[in-house]
Amino acid sequence: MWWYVAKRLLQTIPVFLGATLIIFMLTKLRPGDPILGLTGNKPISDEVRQALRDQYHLNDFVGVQWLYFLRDVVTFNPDLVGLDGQPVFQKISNALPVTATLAVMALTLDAVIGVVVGTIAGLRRNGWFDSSVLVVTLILLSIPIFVLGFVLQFFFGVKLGLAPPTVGGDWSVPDLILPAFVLAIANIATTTRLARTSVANNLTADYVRTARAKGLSNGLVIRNHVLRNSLVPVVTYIGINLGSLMGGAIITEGIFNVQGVGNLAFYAVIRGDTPLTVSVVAVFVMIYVFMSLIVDLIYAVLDPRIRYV
Amino acid sequence: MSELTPRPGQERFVAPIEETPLREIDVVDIDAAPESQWKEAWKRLRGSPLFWVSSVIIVVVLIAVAFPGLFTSADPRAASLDNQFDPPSEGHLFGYNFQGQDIWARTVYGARASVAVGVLATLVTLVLGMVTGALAGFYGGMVDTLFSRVSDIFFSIPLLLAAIVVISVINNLLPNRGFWTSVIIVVLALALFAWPQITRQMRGAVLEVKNLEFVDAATAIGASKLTNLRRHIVPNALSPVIVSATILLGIFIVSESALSFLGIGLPQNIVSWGNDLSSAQNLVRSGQHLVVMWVPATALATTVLGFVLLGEAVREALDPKARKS
Amino acid sequence: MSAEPTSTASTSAVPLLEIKDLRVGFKGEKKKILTAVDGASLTIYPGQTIAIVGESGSGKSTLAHAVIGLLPGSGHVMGGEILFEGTDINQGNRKQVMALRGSSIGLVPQDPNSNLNPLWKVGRQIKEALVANGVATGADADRRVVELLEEAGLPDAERRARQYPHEFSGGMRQRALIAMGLAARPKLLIADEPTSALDVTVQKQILDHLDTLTENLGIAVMLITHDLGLAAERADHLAVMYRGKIVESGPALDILRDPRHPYTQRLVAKAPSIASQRLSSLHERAEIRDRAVENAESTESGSEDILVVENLTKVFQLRGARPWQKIDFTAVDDVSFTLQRGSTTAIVGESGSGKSTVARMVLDLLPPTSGTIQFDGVDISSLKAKKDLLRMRRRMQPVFQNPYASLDPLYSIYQSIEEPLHTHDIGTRKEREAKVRDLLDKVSLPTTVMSRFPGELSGGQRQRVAVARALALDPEVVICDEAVSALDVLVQAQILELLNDLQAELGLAYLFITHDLAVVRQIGDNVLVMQEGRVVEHATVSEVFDNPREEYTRKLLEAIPGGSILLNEEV
Repeated sequence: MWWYVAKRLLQTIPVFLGATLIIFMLTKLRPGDPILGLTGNKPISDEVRQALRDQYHLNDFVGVQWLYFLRDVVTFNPDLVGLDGQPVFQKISNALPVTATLAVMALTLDAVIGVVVGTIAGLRRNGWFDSSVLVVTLILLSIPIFVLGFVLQFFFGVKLGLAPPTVGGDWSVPDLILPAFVLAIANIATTTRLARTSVANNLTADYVRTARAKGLSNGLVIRNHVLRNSLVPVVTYIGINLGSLMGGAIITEGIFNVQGVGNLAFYAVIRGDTPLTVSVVAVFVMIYVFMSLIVDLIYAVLDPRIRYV
Repeated sequence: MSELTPRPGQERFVAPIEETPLREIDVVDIDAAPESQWKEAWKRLRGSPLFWVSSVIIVVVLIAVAFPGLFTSADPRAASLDNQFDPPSEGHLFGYNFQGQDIWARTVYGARASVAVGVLATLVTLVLGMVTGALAGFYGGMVDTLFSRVSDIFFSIPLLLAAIVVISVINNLLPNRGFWTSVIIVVLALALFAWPQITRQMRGAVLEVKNLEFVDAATAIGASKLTNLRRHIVPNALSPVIVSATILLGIFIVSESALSFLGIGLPQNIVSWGNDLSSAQNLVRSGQHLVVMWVPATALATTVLGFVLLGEAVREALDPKARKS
Repeated sequence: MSAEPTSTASTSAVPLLEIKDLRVGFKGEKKKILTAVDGASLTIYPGQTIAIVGESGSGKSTLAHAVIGLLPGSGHVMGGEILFEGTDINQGNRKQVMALRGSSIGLVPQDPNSNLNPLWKVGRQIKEALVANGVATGADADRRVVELLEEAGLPDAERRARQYPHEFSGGMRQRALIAMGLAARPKLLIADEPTSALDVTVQKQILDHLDTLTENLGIAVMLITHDLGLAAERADHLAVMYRGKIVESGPALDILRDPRHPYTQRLVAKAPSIASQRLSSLHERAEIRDRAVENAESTESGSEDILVVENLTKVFQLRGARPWQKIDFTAVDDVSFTLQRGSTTAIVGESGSGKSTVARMVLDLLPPTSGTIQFDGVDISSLKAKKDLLRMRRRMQPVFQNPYASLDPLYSIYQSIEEPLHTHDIGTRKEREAKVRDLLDKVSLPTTVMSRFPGELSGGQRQRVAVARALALDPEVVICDEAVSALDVLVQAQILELLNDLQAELGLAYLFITHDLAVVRQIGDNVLVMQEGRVVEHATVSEVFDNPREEYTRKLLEAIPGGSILLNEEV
C-alpha cells in the first residue's frame, strides 16, 4: 500500500512541472512589455527598468525564468507580486476559501443526489422512475451552465427573493447553496447515469445470484453486494469531476459575483497578469493532482484488488 | 452396480423421438441474412426513438447553418436604435434586442459559429486523441509512457481555463480577425486540452483488442504491425470513441458559447449564441426583456440536446447490453 | 462410486424434490416467448446424487435455476410443479422460496471467478450464509467458517478465511463456494457445472471431495454437467436434456450401456472421455497417419522432421511487490521435440504448464529466451528478410482456442478467409474467391456463409472458418492451440474428425495443444506431457495411455472423467 502511495506521489511531479511549464510558456508568448504593465504604463528610466528586469529575472532564458517561478510557487513566496504589485499568494489565499467551500458543496450535492437517484433508478430499471430520470438527466446535460445559472438566479434570487442573486466579498455558506447547485448540476446528471448503469449491471452479476442462493434477504443482497460494488466506478468519476468543476467555477463565480479563485483566474488572464495567471493555474493543478491521488486511495480502499497491482 | 428396482419417478424413460427430432450437429442457418456489427448497430439505431428525435434536431440545425435565409429574411447585423426592444411583428418573430437587431435572425445566423466550432474541435480532438491513444496502447513501453504522461499534463488543467489562457494570448497577437480565423483559434484552444480524454479511451480499447486472438492470427498470416493496427485493432476499438465524439460535440458547443459569454471566445462582430447571451446578461439581472436571452439559450440547449441524445442512441446501439441489463 | 444408498435418510420412499412437467420461458424480441425448458419431470430422493446432462443451450442450467427461484432476466415458470418435500414451491410466495434457499437448497455455481464478490473477504461471505440462515452468529460463526473451509479441503483455512477472492486460485475459490453451498447443511445441493472451469486433476479432487462430503452428510445432489462420462461416474440417476426436453432418464449405467434415444446414442458414441472409444480411435488414427504421410509433399530439406524444437526456454520478467523489483518466471523450461510431416504431436498440460507459450514461440509471435526452432531445417530466428519470414509464415498457420476471439468480428467470413491470400498477394480477385469457396467446401460450410459475420455463427462454425483461414495458404504445419476446448462434445468430435480428414487428404502436420488427454487419443501420434514449463513425459500415444511412466501422467489419465467406468467392464 505504501509503495502504491509513494508511486502515485512520484507520478504527480511531472504533471505539476509540465502543466506549469505549458501555461508559463503560453503567457510568455503574449506581446507587450511586462515592465510597462508593472509600472502602470508610466515611462521609467533605463536604470530602473534594468533593475526591475533583473529583479524579475526577465533577462534570463525562459526556462530559467520558469525555474525561478517554480521556486516561488513551491515556497508560496510572499514576495511574488502580480501586475498590480499585490502579492500573488495573498490574493489566492484570500480567494481560495470561498471557492473551496463552493467546490466541496458542489461535490457533496453531486455525490449525494447522483448516487441516491442513480441507485434508485438502477434498482428499478426500466420503470417509470428510471425513465423520467433518464429524460431529466439528458435535458440537464444539454442546458449550458451559464443559462441555467441565469435562470435560477433570476427565479430564486430576483423573483422569489429566496437567495441572494449575487454573493460578493462577504459570503456565508447559505449564500453559496444556489451557486453550488448550478455548478454541480451537469455533474449530478452524469453521476446519476453512471450510478444507474453500475447498479443495473451489478444486479445481474454472478456473485449477486450466489448471494441470493445463500439465502440472504433482498435488502442484505443489495446492501452488501450491489451497492458497494457499484460505488467503485462512481467514486472515481466524482473525483475526476473536480477538473470540470473548477472550469465551471470560472463561469459560476462570474454569474453570482463570487470573489473566488475562478474569478481571480479569469481577470488575471484578461489583464495579462502572468505571475498571477500561472500561480492560479498551478494551484488548480495541485488541487486536481491531490484530488486524483485521494480518489485513487479511496479506490484502493474500496477495491482490495488494486492494492496489489 | 445399478439399482435393480428404480424408485418411483426414476424408472427408465425414453422420450418419443418425434417430440425432439434429432438435428444435424451444428447446422448452419442458411436463410439468415448477413449482418455486420455496424449494420446491426444501424438497425438498432433506426429502431430508437431517441435517434429520430436527435436526428430531427440536428438536421434542422444543419439546415440553419447552410441556408439561414430559409428561416428568416431579416439581416442579423442590421441595427437601428429606433427598433430597440420592439415587440414581435410581421417577419420579426421575437422582436428586437437592445441594439435594435432582429433576435430571431441573430439566433438563426448564430448557429453557424457554434456548429463550426463544435464539429471542427471534435474532429481535431478525435484525430489527436485517436492517433496518440492507438500508438500508446499498441506499442506500449516508452511510447506509452511518453504519451500517457503528456496527456496527464494536459488533462490536469481545467479545459475552460486553459482555453481562456490560449485565446487571450492569441487575441493579443492577432487583434483583428475574420470569421474563420476566429473559429479556428477557438477550435485549437479547445482541442489542445481536450484530446487526453480520447487518448485514454482509445488506449484502453486498443489494449483490450490487441491481445485478442484474431490479432495474433493476422500476425501469423504475415500482416505487418501497422497493417494489423489499421485493419483489425483500430476498427474494433472505435465504438467507445464514437460515443464520446457525439458527447464532445455538445461539450464544445457549450464551451464556445461559454467563452464568448465571458467575452473571450469569438469577437463581438461575429454573430454567435454566446455573444448574444453575453450581451443579454445584464438585462436578465434586471428581469427585463427576457426574450433576448430565451431565444438564443433555447437554440443552444436544443442543439446540445440533439447531440446528447444522439450520443445516447449511439451508445445503446453499439452496446445493446448496457440498457437491457 | 457406489450407487447404493448408504444413509438411512435415503432409504425413505418420499421424494425430496419432484419436478413435474415444468416449463420455463424467456421473453424474446417482439414479445415472443422462447421456451427454454419444455415439460421436464424429475424426481430426487434424499441423499441421492442425480445428474442432468446436456449441451449448451439444452436448458439444463435453466432447470436448476428454476428450482431455486433464481431465473435470470425475463425467465419465468410457465407451467408445471416443483415439489420440495411435498410442497409446491413454485406456486408459493417469494418468501417461501427465499426461506428454502441456503438452508434447504444450496447452490454451487459454475464459474469460480465470478461467483465470489471481489470486494469482501472469503470468510465473511461464508459467514453471511451462516447468519442469514440462523445457523450461527458472531464468534461462533467465525469458528464455523474455518471448519467449513477445512471441511471443503482448503488447507490453512484460518488464514484463508481472512483473504480476498483474488488471492485464491480457481480451485480454492471453488472449494470456498462449496463450503458456502454446504454452510447451512441443505438437504439438496445444486451443483451447476461446478468444475468445468478447472483443470482436470483439480476437477477430480474437488468432485471426489464433494462426493464424500455429501455422502457423509446425507445431502442429495443435483449435478448439472455437459460431460456424460463425468455424470455417469458420479450419479446414480441420469437425465439427458436436449433442446429443452428430457429425452432420456434412468439409472446411470443402464443409459451408458444401452442408450435408447438417438441423441443419447450419439452422445455415448462421441464422448471422448469414455474408455471404450480408445481402441477404435487408435486404429483409425494409424490409418489417417499413413495416408497423411503418403500425401505430404516432400519438404525442401528432404527431412522427415518439418519442425525441430531444441532446448526452448522462455523466461518472463514479472513485476515484484515493490517497484523496480523483477521476478524471473520460467514459463517454458528446456523443451525439445520434433514434429514429422503428416503426423500430430500433441502437447498436453494443465493451465500454467507453458504449453501455449510453446505454441506462440513456434509461431514466432513471441521470441524465445533461449533455444532454437527449426522449420524445415532453417532456424526461424535467422529469418531476417521480410520475404523469408513471410514464406515461413505461409507454411505454418495457427488455429486458436477461443472461437469468439479468433475471428475479427468486423470481417465477413469471406474477408476473414481471403485475408491471408490478400496479404500474400496471391491470385486475382476471381481466383481468390474460387479459393475461398473451395476452402469453405473443405471445412463443410455452405458458401452462403461467405457474406455472413462471425457473430452470426456458432462456436463450432467459427472454428471451421478459422481452420479454413489457416488452410488458405496451403501450409504444411497447422498449430492448434486448444482449438476444440471451448466446444460442446458433439461439435468437438465433429471438428476433430474434420481435422483428421484434412490431415489425411493434405498431408498436414499438426502441433496440437490441449489440456484434455482424452482428445489426444483421437488425433495424436506423439505426446508431450508438460508440467510447470517442463516436459515430464514424451512418448507415443499408445505408450502414454497403456504404460505411463510418470506419476503426473498417471494422475492426468486417472482424472479423465468417466475413464474408470467402462475400464472395469473391459477387464
